[in-house]
Amino acid sequence: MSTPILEIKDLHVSFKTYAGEVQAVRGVNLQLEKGETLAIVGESGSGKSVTAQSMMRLIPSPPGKIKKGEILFDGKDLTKISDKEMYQIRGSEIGMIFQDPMTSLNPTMTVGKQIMEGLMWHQRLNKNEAQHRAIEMLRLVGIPTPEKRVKQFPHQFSGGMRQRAMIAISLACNPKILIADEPTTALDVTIQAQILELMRDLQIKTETAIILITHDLGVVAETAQRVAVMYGGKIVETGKVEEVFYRSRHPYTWGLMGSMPRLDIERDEELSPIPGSPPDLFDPPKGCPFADRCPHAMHICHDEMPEVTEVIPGSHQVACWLEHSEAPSVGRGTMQVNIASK
Amino acid sequence: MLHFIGRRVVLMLLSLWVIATLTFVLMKSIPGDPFTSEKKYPPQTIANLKAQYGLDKSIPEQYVTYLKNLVTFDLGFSINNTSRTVNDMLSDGFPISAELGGYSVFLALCAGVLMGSVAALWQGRLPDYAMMILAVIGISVPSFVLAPFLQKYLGLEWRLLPLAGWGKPEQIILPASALALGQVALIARLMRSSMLDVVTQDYIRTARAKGLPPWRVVSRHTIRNAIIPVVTIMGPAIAAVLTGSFVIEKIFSIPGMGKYFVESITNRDYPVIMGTTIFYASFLILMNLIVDLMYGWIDPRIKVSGREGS
Repeated sequence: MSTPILEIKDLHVSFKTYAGEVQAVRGVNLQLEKGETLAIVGESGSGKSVTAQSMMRLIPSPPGKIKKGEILFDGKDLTKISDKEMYQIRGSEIGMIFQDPMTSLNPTMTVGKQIMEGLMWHQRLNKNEAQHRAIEMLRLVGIPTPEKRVKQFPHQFSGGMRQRAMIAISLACNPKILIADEPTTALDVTIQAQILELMRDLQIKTETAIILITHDLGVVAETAQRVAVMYGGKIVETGKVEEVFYRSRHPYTWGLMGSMPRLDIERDEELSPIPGSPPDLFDPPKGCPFADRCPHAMHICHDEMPEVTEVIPGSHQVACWLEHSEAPSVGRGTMQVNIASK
Repeated sequence: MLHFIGRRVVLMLLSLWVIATLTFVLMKSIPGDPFTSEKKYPPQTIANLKAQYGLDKSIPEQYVTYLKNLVTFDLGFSINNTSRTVNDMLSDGFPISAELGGYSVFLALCAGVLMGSVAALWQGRLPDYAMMILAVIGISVPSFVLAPFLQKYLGLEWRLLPLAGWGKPEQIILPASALALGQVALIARLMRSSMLDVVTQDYIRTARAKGLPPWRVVSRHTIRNAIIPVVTIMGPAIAAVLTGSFVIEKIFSIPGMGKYFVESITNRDYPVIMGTTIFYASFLILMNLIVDLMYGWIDPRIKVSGREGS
C-alpha cells in the first residue's frame, strides 16, 4: 500500500453547548489514497459531516473544537498548523463542495467572480487570466455557453447548474483532495445522476482524490472505491465497496443494507428498518454505540468498545465483538430473519 | 426598467398633488393670515394687499391658481420679504442644507456600517458592548441636546472646532456629527443584526472553504450581503436628517433652508410655506426612488420591473 495522501488518526471533535459537551466524533481513523473515492456513510448525527469539516478546519468554533488526534496531509498536521498555513491549503490543496447549492453560492456576486476569487488569491492570476480559467472551468463542468454564464448571478442558474458551478469553484485551483459533503442530497434524481457522473469524469481527468459524504448507499455503489461506515461518532466498518456491500461484517452495516430499497428482491418483501434510535452523544455509551439497537448484542458489547479486526489486512476492517473468537457465529441472513420476525 | 421608473414618476406626481392639497387645506385652517399684526392698518390697505396676492378670491379659486402656478414652477413672491421670490430662497438655502445633509448621511452610513460590522464580528465581546452602548446613547439623545453639548466641549472648552457659522470646512464637522448621531446608531444596530445573520449563511462557509483569509471574506462576501437592509432605511434616514437639520441649522446659525421654513410658518408666509413643503416633499420622494433603484444594483436578485412576474 502506498503512502496515503491524507491520514486521520484518532480524531475527536466536540461541541460545547449549554446542555453539555456533544462528542460528535470519537476517535476516527481514516486513510485516503491518491486518486481514489472514499465514501463516508452513516445516518444523520453519526459525525460524518463533522469529520469532513474538521479536515478543512471549518467547524464553527466556538462551540466546536478538535479535542484530540491528527489529520496528516502532505507531511503537515492540519490540526496544528497556523491559520495562515490553513488558508493556503483550503481551496488550493483541498477543495470542498456542500449539500445545498441553492444557498452555497453568494447571491450578490457573479458566478465567474466566485470562481476567479480563489484563483486570484492562491495562484496570483490577474483578472483576465482568472476569467479565462473560470470560463474553462465552467466548460469543464458541462455548463453550456460559459462565456455568457460567467457574467451571470447564481439566481440565474438552476439547482443542478449551481452544483456544477460549486464543483468548478472547488476544482479551480486543481486541489489534490475534493471533499463533497452530501453533494447530491438537495438535487432531484436525474440531476443527481448527472452530478455523480460529472464527478467521476473529473476525477479521471484531474486525478483528484474524493471524500464523499453521503447517506445514500446507491450513490456509494455508483461512485466510490472504498467506504467507511460511521455510527455514533465512530467508524464501525471500512473496506472496499464490494467488501462492505457483499461481505459486510458489522450488524449496523447489515441494518443499513436491509433498510435500502432494492430492485432485485421480491415485491412483497418489506424493507426492514433498524429499530431504535442513535445514541445520545452528550453521554456516549462506553461500549459499542450500536449495542442498544443490535439484535446480536452480547453483555460485553455494552461495556467495552470492540477492537478493530482486520478481516482482510490493510483493506477490510470492522469493529465488532462478533469477530472475537469466543463470539457465536451469526450472519447477515440471520439478522434479516430476526428483524422480519419481529 | 424604464417602465418601472415611469410608473414611479406617475405615482410621485400623484403624491405631490396630495401633499400640495393637504398643505393648502392646513394653511387655510390656521387662524390668522400674513397681514395679522399688532399694528392696525387701515382696512383699505389690508384689502389692497389681499387683492395683490389673490387672497380676496374664494378659496376654491385660490386653490386652482395655486395649482396652476405650481405646475409652471412659479412659486410666487414671499409676502414678508417682497423683493424675493420663493425660488430665490430655495436656490440660496437649499445648497447649504443639502451640503450639511449630504455630509451627515455619508457620515451616518460610514460610521454606522463600520460600527455594526465591528460589533457583529466581535459578538459578545468588548467591542460589541462598546458599540451597542454608543448606539443606545445615539438613539436616546436627541440632536438638539447633543448639539449644545458638542458646542460646549469641542467648541468652547477645548477650542478644537468653531462654535457655529458656515463657510469653512471645519464648520461642517460639529453640525454634521450632531445631525448624524441618531442615524449612526440606527444603522449600526441594523448592520449588526444583519451581519450576524449573514455570517452563518452557507455561502460564507463556501468563501472560507476557498481559503480566503477572514478580512477578505468579510469585505467581499459578508458586508455586501449584510448591507441590503441598511439601504432600505436610507430613505427614512435622509428624511430624518432633512427635518433634523431645521433645528441644527438654527443652533449652529447656518443659513440653510431651515431658517426660511421656520420663519415662514410663524409669519404665515403662504407662498414660502407652500414652496418649501412641496420642494422637500419632491426631494424626499426622489431620494426614495433612488434608494429603490439601488437595490437592484446591490442585490441582483431584486429585479426592478413594472410588471408582476416579468
